[in-house]
Amino acid sequence: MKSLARSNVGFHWRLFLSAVSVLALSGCLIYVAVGISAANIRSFSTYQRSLDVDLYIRSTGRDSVSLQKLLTEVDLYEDIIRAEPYLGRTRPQQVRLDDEVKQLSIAEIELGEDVILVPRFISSEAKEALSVPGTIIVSSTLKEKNDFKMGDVLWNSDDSFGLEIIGFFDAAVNRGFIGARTGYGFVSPETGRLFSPSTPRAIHFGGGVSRNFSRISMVGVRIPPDTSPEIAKQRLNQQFKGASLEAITPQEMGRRTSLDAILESKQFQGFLVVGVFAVLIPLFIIVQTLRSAILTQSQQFATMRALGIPSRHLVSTAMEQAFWVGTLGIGVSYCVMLGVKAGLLGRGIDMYVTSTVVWYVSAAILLAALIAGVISLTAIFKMKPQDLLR
Amino acid sequence: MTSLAKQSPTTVAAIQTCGLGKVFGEGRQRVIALDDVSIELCSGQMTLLMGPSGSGKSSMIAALGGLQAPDTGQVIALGEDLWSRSSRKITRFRRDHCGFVFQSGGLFPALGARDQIALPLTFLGWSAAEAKRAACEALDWVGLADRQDSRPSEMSGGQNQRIAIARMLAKKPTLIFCDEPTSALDGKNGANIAELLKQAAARHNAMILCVTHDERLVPHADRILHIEDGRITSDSEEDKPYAANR
Ligand SMILES: Nc1ncnc2c1ncn2[C@@H]1O[C@H](COP(=O)(O)OP(=O)(O)O)[C@@H](O)[C@H]1O
Ligand SMILES: [Mg+2]
Repeated sequence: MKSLARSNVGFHWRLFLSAVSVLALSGCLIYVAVGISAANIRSFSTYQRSLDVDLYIRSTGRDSVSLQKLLTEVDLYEDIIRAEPYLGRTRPQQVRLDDEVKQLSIAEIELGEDVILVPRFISSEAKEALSVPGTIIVSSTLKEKNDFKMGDVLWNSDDSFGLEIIGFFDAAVNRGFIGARTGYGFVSPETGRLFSPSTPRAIHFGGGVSRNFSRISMVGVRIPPDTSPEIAKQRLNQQFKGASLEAITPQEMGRRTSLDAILESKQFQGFLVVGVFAVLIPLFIIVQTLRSAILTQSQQFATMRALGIPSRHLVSTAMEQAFWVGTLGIGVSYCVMLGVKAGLLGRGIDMYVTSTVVWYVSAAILLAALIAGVISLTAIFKMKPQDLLR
Repeated sequence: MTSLAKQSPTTVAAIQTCGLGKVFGEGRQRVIALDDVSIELCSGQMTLLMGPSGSGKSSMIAALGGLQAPDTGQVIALGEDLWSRSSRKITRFRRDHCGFVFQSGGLFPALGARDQIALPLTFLGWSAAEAKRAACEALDWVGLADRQDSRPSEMSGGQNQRIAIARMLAKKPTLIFCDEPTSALDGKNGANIAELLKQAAARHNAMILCVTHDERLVPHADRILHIEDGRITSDSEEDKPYAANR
C-alpha cells in the first residue's frame, strides 16, 4: 500500500510544486557556486596534473638554493633517476605580429622522450614539429584574444628572429597556467635561445625551462620504475633531513596548490556566503509552502485525530511529505544542474561537480526540506477534531 | 455525583451522562451549548438526536465521543469515566471503541476507496493484508465493491458518505457517532444511509447516536431525543416530554 504521504504529494502536487521548485533552484545555486569555484580552484593545478611526474621536491625554506644544489647532486640519491627544475613565474614578453605588439609568455620545453616536465597534451608529433627552430605552439585562448592564426609569425624585439605558429593547445588547460604562472606558448630550448639570446636561463637539466624565471619553485623527479612513489618519498625525506627539502606526491602537490588557492582567494569567502544564503533563503520560503500545504490538508489531519490515530503517525506523514519534497528537489536540481552545466560550458565557463559535491548538495537540500518540515509541524494541530462537527 | 438514570433490564447502557454542561464564550458572547444533560444510550440501538441548529447537538457528540471535554458533569463510556483520563488515553479510547461519520465525510482526497478504509487501519496497528481484507469486506457491505480505486472526487456525495460509513464500520466500533450524515444527500440516498447504520447497530450490537434534522431518518430510529438550547426536551422512550432536568 502506498503511504498516505506519497499519495498526498502525488495528488496535491500543485501544493508542493513551489516547495520543490524553490529547493531545486537553491540546490542548483549551490551547484553553480560550488561547481564554478571548484573548477577555478582545480584549474590552479591543471598544469601540474598534466605533467607525468613521479614525485615533486620542494624547498621548505624561503629560497631555492637548496633546490639548485639538489639538481647538481642527483647522483647522490638512489631514488632519483632524473630531476628537472619546475620554474615559477613567467613574465610576458613582447612579440610583434604584423604591426601590432602583443604580450606572450613563452616556456621552453625539452623535446626528449624521457622528459618529465612536459605536459601530456604536447604530443610526440608536436614535439617533432617543435624541433624545427623558429616554431611555437600557443594556447587557443590567444587564438581568439590576439587573433592568432596558423602560420602567423611572431617577431622578437629587434626583428632578428621570428616564431611561426604551428599549432594550438586546448584553452581549458590554459587556465592552469594562470595558477602555475607558466607560459602561454611552448618552444624548444634552441628556438628560445635564438629568439631571446640575452635572457638568463635556469640550470638546464630537462624540460620546463621558461624564460624570465624568478626562481625554481620545485623539482620534478623520476624514480626507478620498480619503486613505489610512497616508499621513494619516505626514503628521500629521510635523506633530506636538515636540507630544508621535502618530497611530495603529485596528488599532494595538486591538493596543496588548490588549498593555497582556496585560502588565498576571496572566492572562498564569497562561496561560503553564497552557500549560507542558498540554504537560508529557500528554507524560509519552504517553511511557508510546507505549512500552507499542511493547512490545506488540515481536515485530513483532524480526521486522523478523530479516528484516534496516534500523533506520531500524523507527524511522520507530514515529515514524509517533507522528505518526498526534498527528494524531488534533489532530483530536479540535479537535472537542472546538468542543463546549466552544459549551457555554461557552451559559453566557456567550466563547472566541476564531483560525486562528493552531489552528495553534499543533495544532503543539504534534504536537510533543508526536513528542517522546514519540522518547523511547519505545528500546522498539523491547527484544526481540532471537534471542528469536523458542524 | 447525582444518581445516574436507572438501566433498563433488557439493554446495556453503553454511555451514561450525568449533569453534562458546556459553555462557550464569556459575558454577552456566553452561549450554553449543553445544560445539565443526563441521559443513557444503549448498545444495539440507533438513537436520533434532533433539534434546531445551534441547540447543542454537535457539542453533545463531541462530549460523548471523546472529542471535546465538557465543562461540568461526567461521561461514563463503556463503564469508565471518559474525561477523567489523560488525553492520550482518550485518543486511545476513540481509536479502540469509537466510530465517527461527519457531515462532510472527512475522507482523504488523495486516496482510492479501498485505501481510504485500509490506511487508517494500518495506522491503528493492523497489518496491511488484514486492513485490505477488512476494507474490501466493508466496501462490499456498503455496495461499493466495484469502486475500490475511486477517489472521493470521482464519486457522488452519497457514495462518499457510504465510504465514510464503511471506514467507520471496518474497525468494528462499539460506539458510533454520526453528525448530520444525510444532510447533503437526496431522499433515496438518505434512506439508504439510515438503513446501513441501523443494520450496523444490529450486526455489531453497537450504540449509534445520530445527529440529524432529517425527518426521513425517523422511521429507522429505535429512539428519538429532542434537544433545545442544550437541554433534552423529549425522549421517545419515556413517551412524554422530558421534565425540566433540574
Ligand atoms: N467553538 C465554539 N466557540 C463558540 N461557540 C460555540 C463553539 N462551538 C459551538 N458553539 C456554540 O454552541 C452552541 C451549540 O453549538 P452546536 O453544538 O454546534 O449546535 P448544533 O450542532 O446543534 O447546531 C451554538 O450556539 C454555537 O454557536
Ligand atoms: Mg452541528
